[in-house]
Amino acid sequence: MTKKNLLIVCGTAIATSTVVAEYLKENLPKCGIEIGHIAKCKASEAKERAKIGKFDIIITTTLLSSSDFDVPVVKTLAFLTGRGENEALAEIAGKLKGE
Amino acid sequence: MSPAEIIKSMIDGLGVSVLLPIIIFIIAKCFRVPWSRAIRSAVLIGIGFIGINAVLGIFLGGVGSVAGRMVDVTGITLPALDVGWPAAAAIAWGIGKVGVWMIPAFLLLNLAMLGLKLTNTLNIDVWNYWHFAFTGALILALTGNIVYAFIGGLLMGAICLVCADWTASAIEETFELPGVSIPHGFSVPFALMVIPINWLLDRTPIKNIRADPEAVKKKLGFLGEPIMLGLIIGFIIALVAYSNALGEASSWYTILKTAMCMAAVMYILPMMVGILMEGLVPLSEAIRKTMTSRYKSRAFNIGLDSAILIGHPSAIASSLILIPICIGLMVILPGNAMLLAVDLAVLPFLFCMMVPIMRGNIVKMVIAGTIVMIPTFYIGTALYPAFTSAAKEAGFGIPAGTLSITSICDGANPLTYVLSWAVPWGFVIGGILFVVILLALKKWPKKMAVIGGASEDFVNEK
Repeated sequence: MTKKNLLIVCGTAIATSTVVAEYLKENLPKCGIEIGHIAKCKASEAKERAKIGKFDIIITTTLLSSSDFDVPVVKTLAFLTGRGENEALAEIAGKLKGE
Repeated sequence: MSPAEIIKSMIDGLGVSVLLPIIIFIIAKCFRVPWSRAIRSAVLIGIGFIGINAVLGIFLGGVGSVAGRMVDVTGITLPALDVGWPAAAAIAWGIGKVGVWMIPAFLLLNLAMLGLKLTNTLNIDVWNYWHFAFTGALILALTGNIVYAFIGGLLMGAICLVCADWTASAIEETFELPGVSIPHGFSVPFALMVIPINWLLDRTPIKNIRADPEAVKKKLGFLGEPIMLGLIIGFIIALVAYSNALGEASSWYTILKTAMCMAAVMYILPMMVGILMEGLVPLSEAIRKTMTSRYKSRAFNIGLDSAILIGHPSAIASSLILIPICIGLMVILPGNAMLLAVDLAVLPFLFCMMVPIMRGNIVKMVIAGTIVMIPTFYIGTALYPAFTSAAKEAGFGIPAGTLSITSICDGANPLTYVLSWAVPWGFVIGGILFVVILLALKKWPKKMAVIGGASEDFVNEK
């Protein structure tokens, strides 16, 4: 399978997105997904950033209108709260495998 | 040398970039982070500090001297350059005596308050404990008293917890986030300040004017990108600084270089803080797991970063409009010392908790934002000397005598100001605020939820 590129979006591109990025870096490979690169950005620049980079999925901790993007957008707080982590991980892995 | 002197000379000699990783490593081991992860995260924190210091050097070198020239040329006295929240966070963590020690101290406080049912929020957003540590750092810079520093920082944390309880219903309704509350040290004070402003605005015809946030985002969206914002701000500062020499080619070289430098700082500085954050993740994960497993039986709200609210179109739109307003205020407000720069990018934090209170009405939000910014400028002006000396204390290289530094977040944070004001009298005001909110929440839970921004229907259904 080809490597997947992830765009992680939050309010600052620093705090919550880093938590999500670290979690996915560790756990997505366990689901059989090979990660290419992970980029982080702010919600206000997500649309432009998504145009420049080649991303397979956008994962956000804040509101984003999915109509702005032509790849799947997953909004989740599970990796921050620890409630429902496995389900969210399975959803992301599923979308990346094209299920 | 006595043991105490040896320790002191070690602390001075090693500096923050070595000392902090050692402390973080020890705390991480206490929370049973595995060896390899603990070492890696400790080193990352050291790297983050070195990176922030380097970028700050680029910023003060490239933009600082131009800002100094602006003062000479125009007579506009704005001596406190806004180096932004990334620097403020680094200062907060970098003050050895308060900094990371706020992590265990606040955790104990939060657990005690949960146990005593004084709060319903478990704040697992360890990164943002820096707001509390920063208040402590300022108090330390002002008074030199370490006990006061911890009292001030912890009181801020406690106020944020009860305010998180207060606004939790509104957050749940507007953002569809059940089980989450926001004890964020920067967003909470502004949410408190707009509650009376909102009450007043609702008694004027302004409440009926509506504007479309999506349209604003389309027109001003470029200001939401840090690199574009940096380019524009850098250009304006340099253009004003060289306004008396625009005929010379060399002036234009400097103007364009300053614009590029500012864009670079706005882009790179947050990345450096990202490294610091990356280093903190294993520790905050371990803390979260320890804390949540301990309190499984009880339903409580998990306290998170207000960054999760910032994507709301109304928060983004109103902060875009506020950027030019802030620049105007900065120039016209008499006695203001703040020269805004990096933190123009974090204005959404000011607005995100206003969204439920003002029902996302961006006309009201911009008016309220403008009103709260006025005292904010003066708070920043009052606090910048302490901010600058705290930065020096934390080991950041600031060219001697040339320039002072500040930030909107948290160098101009109203709650930080109240708590560090006339220490210890500010604590009394903070204490009263805490007790009043706590008692009101116990006595009138529904009414308070509505004031905090929830609708009556929503509160009654719960």
